[in-house]
Amino acid sequence: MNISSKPLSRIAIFLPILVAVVILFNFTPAGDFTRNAFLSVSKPLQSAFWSKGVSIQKDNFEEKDPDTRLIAEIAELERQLEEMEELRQALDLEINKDFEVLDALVLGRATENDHLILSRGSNDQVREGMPVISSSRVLVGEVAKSLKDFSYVRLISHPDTNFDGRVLGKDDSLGVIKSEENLIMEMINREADLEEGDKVVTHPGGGIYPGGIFIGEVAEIVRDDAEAFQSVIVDPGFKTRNLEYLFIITDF
Amino acid sequence: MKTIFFIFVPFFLFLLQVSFLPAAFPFSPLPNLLMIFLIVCLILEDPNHDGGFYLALFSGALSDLAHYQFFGFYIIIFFSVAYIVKFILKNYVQISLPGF
Repeated sequence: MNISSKPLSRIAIFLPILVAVVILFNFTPAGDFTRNAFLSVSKPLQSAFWSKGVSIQKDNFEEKDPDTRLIAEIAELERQLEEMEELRQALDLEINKDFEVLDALVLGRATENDHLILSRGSNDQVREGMPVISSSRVLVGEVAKSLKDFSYVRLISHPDTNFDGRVLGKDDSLGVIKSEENLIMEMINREADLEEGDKVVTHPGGGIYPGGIFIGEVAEIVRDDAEAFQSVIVDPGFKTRNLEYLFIITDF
Repeated sequence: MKTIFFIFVPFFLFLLQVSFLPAAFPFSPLPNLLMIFLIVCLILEDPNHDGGFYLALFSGALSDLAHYQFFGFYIIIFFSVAYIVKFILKNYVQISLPGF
């Protein structure tokens, strides 16, 4: 069949088929079933490609300046240890409360921005809305969609992000975390004494995440005399680098 | 042979796009390899042939399978791009390249 010879008849045949397929995929379980089957087939390759990508990224990072990198990494680890200790004390060991986690392999980044594909699904009791953290217990996002054997994670950098947070400064201050160009924490009491570098953690008030999970640090304080509240720009602790495994919190 | 080529190359590009490049270059903007491949194939293809439309359909379906929202979104985009490129090439451009 030639596209140029009978374009109208071709479109007339093609469009109903496309509409039928779209309806079938979007309004019946066939779409999820097909996605799950496709990911099951491509999982070994996706996993191998992701691991290779991570290793190349690591190699590139190390090649730049191995000595400086090692020194910087040691300093960073020491700083993180101190921070974690401070956090534990500040949170009255809240972060040590047990929650059940499930490890999941990262398979790739979904076509939408700010989504990752994980190798766990509803067969592993993964449900939508479950929090996802990194191995260093930094908040990554939440499960946005759970297929039978796979799930999609919406990262906290996604524009739909909206949850309660807490700044651990001189004053413990609550606020609402949103993602625009940066991660922003809004609705903070304007009397609160905040400093750049203060830690920001999750607050269990909204019921979305367990309390005390590290989100990031205050990078900039935005205070306007005309506003009733102040806000801060948060530098996220989670980076999409060196990610091979993530942890889904299944119970908290 | 041609069919195998047009199935495996997009699938390989899909793996690069979804699994390799985001891991290797996490902070860089990434090109849409499937779209680039589609446009290159459309340019090289005889304007009167319609293989590019099947490629658009397959590439769009691959992209749609890698996300969880509206299925058909990328099919429509890829198909529209294929139609526009075909239209331009057929009506306004005359190039003689060894076609597929």
